Amino acid sequence: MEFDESYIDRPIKVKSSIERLPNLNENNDTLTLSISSSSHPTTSINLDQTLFQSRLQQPSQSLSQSNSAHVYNDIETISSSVPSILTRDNNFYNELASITTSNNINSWKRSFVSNEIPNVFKPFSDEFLTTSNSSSNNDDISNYDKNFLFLTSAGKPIYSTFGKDEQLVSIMGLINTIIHFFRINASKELKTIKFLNSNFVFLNRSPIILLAYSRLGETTTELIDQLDFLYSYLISSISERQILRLFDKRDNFDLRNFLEVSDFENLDQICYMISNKFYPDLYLGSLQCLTLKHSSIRKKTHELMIKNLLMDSDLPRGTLLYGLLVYPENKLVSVLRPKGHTLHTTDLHLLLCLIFNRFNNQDNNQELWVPICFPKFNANGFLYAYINFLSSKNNKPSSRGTSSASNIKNSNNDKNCPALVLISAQKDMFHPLKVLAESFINELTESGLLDKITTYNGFKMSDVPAPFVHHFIYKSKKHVQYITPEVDHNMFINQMPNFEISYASYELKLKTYYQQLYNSIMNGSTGGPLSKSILNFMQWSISPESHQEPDISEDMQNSFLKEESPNIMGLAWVTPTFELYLICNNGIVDKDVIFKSAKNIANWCRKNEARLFVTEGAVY
Amino acid sequence: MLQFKLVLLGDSSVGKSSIVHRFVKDSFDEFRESTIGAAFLSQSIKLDEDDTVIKFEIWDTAGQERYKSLAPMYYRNANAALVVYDITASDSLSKAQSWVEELKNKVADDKLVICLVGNKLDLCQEDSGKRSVEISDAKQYADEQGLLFFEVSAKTGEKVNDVFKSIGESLYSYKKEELLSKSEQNGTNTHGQVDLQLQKPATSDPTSCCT
Repeated sequence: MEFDESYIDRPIKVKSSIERLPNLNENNDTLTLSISSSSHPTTSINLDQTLFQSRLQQPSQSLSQSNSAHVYNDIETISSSVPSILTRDNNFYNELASITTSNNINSWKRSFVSNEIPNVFKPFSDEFLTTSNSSSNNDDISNYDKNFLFLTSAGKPIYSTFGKDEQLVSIMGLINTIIHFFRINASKELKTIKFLNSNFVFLNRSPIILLAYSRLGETTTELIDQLDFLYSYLISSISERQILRLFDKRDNFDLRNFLEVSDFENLDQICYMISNKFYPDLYLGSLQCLTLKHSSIRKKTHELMIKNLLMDSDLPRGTLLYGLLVYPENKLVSVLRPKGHTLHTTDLHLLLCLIFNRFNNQDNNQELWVPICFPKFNANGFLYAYINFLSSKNNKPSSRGTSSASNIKNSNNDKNCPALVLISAQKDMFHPLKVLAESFINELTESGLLDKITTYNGFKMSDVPAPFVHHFIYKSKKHVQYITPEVDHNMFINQMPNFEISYASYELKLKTYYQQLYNSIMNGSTGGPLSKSILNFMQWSISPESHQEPDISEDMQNSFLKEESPNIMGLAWVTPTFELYLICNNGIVDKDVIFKSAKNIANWCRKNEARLFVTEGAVY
Repeated sequence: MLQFKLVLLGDSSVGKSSIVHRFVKDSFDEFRESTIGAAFLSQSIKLDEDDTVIKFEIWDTAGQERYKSLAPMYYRNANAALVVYDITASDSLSKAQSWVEELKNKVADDKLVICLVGNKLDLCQEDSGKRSVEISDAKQYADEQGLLFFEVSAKTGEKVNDVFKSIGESLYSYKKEELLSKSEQNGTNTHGQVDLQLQKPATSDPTSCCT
């Protein structure tokens, strides 16, 4: 892939140090040493330097062949405050310093973007990054920067992500008092309380009150969306009719007696996901789609679905409501649906959360039959989901013993089992659907399509002609789906002792950039975008006074390491047909260049539409 | 090959899924999450008698109260039921007993094989103080009701296969009687043949065949 010369000709501010790059690369030991001895955070030597250098050396060589010249170690940075973003001191996590070292450069084939971006946000504690449930002993509620609490309208606690029981009872009593105070004295619903950098957001879904508390800088709209999603989970598990019926008899009903262990486990997982993971599905209101190598794979899969459905004469008409082929990390592969019917994205989010947060660790030789209520489809009734995890013949999970080691969920690659989901409104239709599923899965496996689906690991940033872009999200409004490049997991797996923390901190950082970018184009009061067409640049940087300029007389290597301060540009581009959010490499600030890259991405997405998105689905 | 449908019933967290996974995959997960809805699995065993291969199609149901209304769907056509309790929790035995009652009342088939299974034997072997259901009490109940009875440990695997083998043998003996009486009625010798029409169609899942 050749680059437009205009990108290459850009002036580069650290030109003088570029000549040092090969030396740095050879002296990996020295470099690594200087990284690990530093307790300061990191930034990247980024693409333009790298590219520039490789072009200087071998002007005629295409970039794809010049792996050896790609140097993107994360080196030194900066701790300071970020006036426009968050006002806390940046006391960066040490782990970042060890995220990227040179030994994984070659494992990332054809990568010419930096695999890391600097953080300009308030750092998160290790505990926040790794705690996915409330089982830890030191459970003081004030230790947590974010928490979700549910209580009944009568003030009885239902659920909280963190916190000890004794503490919760009094806190929930207090919350209830405050809410009622407003209701009685001002006859208004209390929506939000802001105190310093804390934001308390309330959602009244009588007889249940939900509260989100965050010090992480999320907007009220975002927190309300998250609460609404958590409430949707409750409905999906017990249905709105059931909730109303329970409280109809007794106002002071204790819902905890009705919820099961699995509900609390699921709520913990969902809270963890929406707080810590890169999960734009929620605010984008769309599903992520699995990129396939060729559009024909999706087309043939859909043809097989339809063929098997039509062939299956034993299946009573109307039994199958909806069919899905989904892929780990909540990605959509294929859709089988009746003409004129689609499911609401919230319902699908809930379903996918359940499948991949909940059942992913289960053995894939069992089939599941799960009652689920889809709040947007019918909040009062249950549907039944047949779920079957497909393991392709060449891709069987390697280890089968006790799975306590399977905690590292994202080190997947041997867990790339897509799942087939068939949804029916009738509770006794398991066997007919099982027959349909089996004939479809057999053909999918025999035709080799399954292998093609599981072996292609999505597209990478390097596949897209937008060299200065670190990462992007492209949402097709028509399909209500979005795509985003794959993050190189190897980069983090190499950091085995700190794998989880390294990956989690990267994900959280990415998530924060996008959230702020997204919020920048949202109307805070209505929750919708400011306008139908928006082009908005956003810049994050560290204020110069807090960033120590490198001493010129210092050793040249050190000066290079400290040369660059985090200076990240993002772009949000909303049009009637798509939304594009992108984050550039550190140091890229030229808006024309960024917009040109954005146009390239949009063109690329349009050109590859059929392999990127489920355009039509298998319609019957 | 004979196929039989088997359903697991019992209170939540007594170890139904763990027993099934010990039987099907010979594995144990200390931190197994609770089952939502129900899971369908299959596993075959070979009986000593006549080298008969029996394939179990197993419904592993959620023990939670909320899903209780779905249970009839799983046990309605079952040939065998495994009613599980936790020997360290006496409440779970009374729950198991109510399941036995329900099965006897609702399942018309008097050939339904019910096996009462006390799980978590390993805990009591480590510390006998943990036992809260005496083996003699449970055994006496099982005998009165005409149930098969075992105490097992899904964690160590102790006696788990015996449970399924013994259920398989009971089912096979019923099946033989049935076939014999049928052949007597018809006056034709169908010995050695099995009427597969009675059974659900075989699954074509390649992972579920005997090992």
